[in-house]
Amino acid sequence: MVWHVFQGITRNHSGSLAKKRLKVVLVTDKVDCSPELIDRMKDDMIRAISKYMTIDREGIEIRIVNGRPQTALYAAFPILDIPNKGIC
Amino acid sequence: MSEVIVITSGKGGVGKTTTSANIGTGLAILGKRTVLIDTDIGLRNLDVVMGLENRIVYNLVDVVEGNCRMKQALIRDKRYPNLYLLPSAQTRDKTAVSPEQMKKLVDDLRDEFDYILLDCPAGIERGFQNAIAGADRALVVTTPEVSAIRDADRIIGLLEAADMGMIDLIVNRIRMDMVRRGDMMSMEDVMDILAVNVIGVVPDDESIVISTNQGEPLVGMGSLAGQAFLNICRRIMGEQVPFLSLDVQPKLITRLSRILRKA
Repeated sequence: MVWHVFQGITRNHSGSLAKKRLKVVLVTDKVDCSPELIDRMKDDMIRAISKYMTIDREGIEIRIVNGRPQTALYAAFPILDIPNKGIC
Repeated sequence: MSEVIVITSGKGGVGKTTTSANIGTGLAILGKRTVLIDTDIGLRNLDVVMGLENRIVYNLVDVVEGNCRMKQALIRDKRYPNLYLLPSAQTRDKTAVSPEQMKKLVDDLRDEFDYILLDCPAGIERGFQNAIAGADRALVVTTPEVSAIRDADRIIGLLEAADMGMIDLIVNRIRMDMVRRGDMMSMEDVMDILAVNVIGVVPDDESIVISTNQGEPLVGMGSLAGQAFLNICRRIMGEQVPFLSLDVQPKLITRLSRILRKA
């Protein structure tokens, strides 16, 4: 066990690298969408959401997840504050 | 009631034919009347993996073209009374048969057999379309490698588009020692990426090579791979069978030598 932990610290695992690379390639195989496009979409979403909420821009997470039957877009925007709660 | 199952993968060399041979034999051992059909026209191999290559008289294309009756082309495996093989043609190509003809051929076998297994050729072209045409469900074979998984994902998409009733995954040639040290994707990783049900995991086992050399499927024998295949057969039949523990701990001496090598 200790040995496994030690190994985990000392070197990168090619298994998890393979998994990460596959997740990206399967999405691009399907939706044919570039990282630049995701970035532009993210900027648009930030602009829209910022009108109503203060969000933590550093913590934003956007993922396209390969799923069955549909591939889906997941976006998480950490909320710092909602200035006009009454209207919201 | 009979069930028609296609065994497919997209990528070549992941073990479709070996898997077909072992699952077919396993179902026969479990008492089911089973026929294996080699649909890889032009690249026939299931006969040699099954050890039945010397008994071929007629083949799949002969049946489709009406050169013989179905009964004349079916080879009965003398070792297993419930098992039959319909071999492929070696001197023709995939265009010798159409998906409609394959569907009819398979439907003609439904009265006689409990399970009709189709060993699909690699690729996504005509051979694949022929093999899936008459199938009720699909077993997608993959290995824990990026190329095989990418192709499996594509195949699963095509099977879904063709309204395949049931799609299950077999993860072949897994090496638990490599999974344990993080250098191979685990069954969970593959399941997470492909989002389909895993019906079985088969360890990379040298006994598979030996059994193929001998032309004798190893399903049900003592080896881990043999047990894994028999468990897959039971799950195909609808039984709930827990996954085998493939996690054979390495011997202390191997671990020590590994540590020493690192140092």
